Amino acid sequence: MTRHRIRLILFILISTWISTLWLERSFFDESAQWMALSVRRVPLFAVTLLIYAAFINNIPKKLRQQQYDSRSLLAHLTELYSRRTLVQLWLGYRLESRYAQTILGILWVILLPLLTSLVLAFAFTQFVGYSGVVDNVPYVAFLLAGLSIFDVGHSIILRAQESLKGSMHIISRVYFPREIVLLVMVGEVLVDFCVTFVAMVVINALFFQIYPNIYYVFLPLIVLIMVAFSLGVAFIVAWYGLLINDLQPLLTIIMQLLFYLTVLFSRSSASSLAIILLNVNPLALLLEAFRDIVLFARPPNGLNLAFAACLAITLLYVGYTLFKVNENRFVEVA
Amino acid sequence: MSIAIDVKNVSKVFTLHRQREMTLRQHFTQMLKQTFQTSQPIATPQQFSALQTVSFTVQQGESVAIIGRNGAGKSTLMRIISNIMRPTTGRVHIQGSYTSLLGIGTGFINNMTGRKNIYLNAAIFGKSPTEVDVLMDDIVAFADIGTFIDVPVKDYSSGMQARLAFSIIIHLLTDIVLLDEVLSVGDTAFQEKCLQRMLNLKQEGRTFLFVSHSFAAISLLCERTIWLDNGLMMIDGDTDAVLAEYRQFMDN
Repeated sequence: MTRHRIRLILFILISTWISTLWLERSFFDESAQWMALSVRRVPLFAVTLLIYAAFINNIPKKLRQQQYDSRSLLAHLTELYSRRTLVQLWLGYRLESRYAQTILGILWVILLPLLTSLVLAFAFTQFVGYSGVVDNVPYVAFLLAGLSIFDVGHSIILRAQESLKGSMHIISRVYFPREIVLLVMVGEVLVDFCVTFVAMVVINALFFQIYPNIYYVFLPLIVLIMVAFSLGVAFIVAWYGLLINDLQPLLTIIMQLLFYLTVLFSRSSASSLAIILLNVNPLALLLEAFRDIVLFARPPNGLNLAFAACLAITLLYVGYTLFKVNENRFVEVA
Repeated sequence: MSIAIDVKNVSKVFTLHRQREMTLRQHFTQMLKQTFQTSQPIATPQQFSALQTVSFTVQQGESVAIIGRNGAGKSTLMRIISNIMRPTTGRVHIQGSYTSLLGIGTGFINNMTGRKNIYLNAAIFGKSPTEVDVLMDDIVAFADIGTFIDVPVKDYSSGMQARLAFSIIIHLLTDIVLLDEVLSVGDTAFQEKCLQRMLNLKQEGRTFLFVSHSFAAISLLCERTIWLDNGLMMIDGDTDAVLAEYRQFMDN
């Protein structure tokens, strides 16, 4: 029963999200001067909050009805906290062995986004006819900034299923809170991001005269929202990935589409339809905030961040609950 | 004496799908059906009942063996007790810390060295690296795999893996130890050593739940035996009596 409720709630969440598209101001009035976030977006915000409240209120009760897994969210988190040495140890070993048989080692982390953005920038400026400058910032720098933060969400979501399935031989033999497997993967991704970020700051300073600024204090928040959002998705994907084999290719396609919708374009060059897509896409909002700080040295839009955070927390909660409710069934279904 | 393991009316029903993994389309149609008409299930898949209302308690310091034919539900029961699976009905309560070694080869990460796997395995059972440092020499000495301890586990023979796994489990000094057919891999000398070590631990007052096909090991270690057959508890009683019954049953 519980699982069906969660599915129903997910349906509601997604449909609300899509239906509030129509509240977008620019959808009706193309000429309207677009502000960062219209007042009409507030209902969307309120609905999400309401759904969020409903989750908090309902799902633990549903969990308690279950005969076996009757523990509350807090109990799960306490258990997780008590196993933090396992997370540290596992993460440490994974990082050690990660680049054991590579020649370039940790360089891969920065090489991949750098080459991708160089190729993309070359293609778009030479073939498509972009001017090579977006909002007074070189297109390469624009792409690199977007890619580095986008990769956090991208990797976490795409590697969720693989990391759970790869640990199945341990999961089927001993008990530990299963989310640790995903948390270790998130840890790896974050370490990669830190390296990429430092390299990006250096490249920006050396080649594009873009220097660190005071607004960098907002960066941990943005990364945190990004991780919460993608971890929420990762929990859902990891569980359904055990049930359905064709989820992974589908996910790859979705992430590819999201990549084009979020990384390539800026708000200033987008059409009104594209702006709507930008505004309902939390990844794009996070990317925008990240670029605001790193490239344009201005504070991020608070309401945008709050919207993304709200969705992220909701997804994290739903995902974690779904994951924990089904935790003892992993061995049966895999 | 307090109760270490309390198994109450545990049943486990497995659903046997003809093809377990569904395609996306099947899953979505099923999801829609289940969401909007919760009253009736779509199909009735074949069900297999692995355990039927199994109840028993194990006192602290007691050693209990579980015997039965293949497919009797022994491993399912062990998995449920060690919280890897959820019972369909009933519940299990464990009082105290426990380690479990179910089947051959534990949760080793293959491309990590034996030493790192010791730390990791211990952390899975809640021991911090500093606690393990004290035990490390004993674990390595007991496993007796020489310089292989600093070699990735993927290069181990299956016997070496079993040795190391058993050595870790037996040295973590938890209140309860759950073992499922772990002695069958090692050579006779190692089996002897393991049994000796287990007897020592038993004298220290630790609790064992032990699945085995070796009558000798069972009668040496356990004073009480539970006989499972087709998911049902046949007899729960004194080891000698149960083993005699079981032997008679198997001969027929």
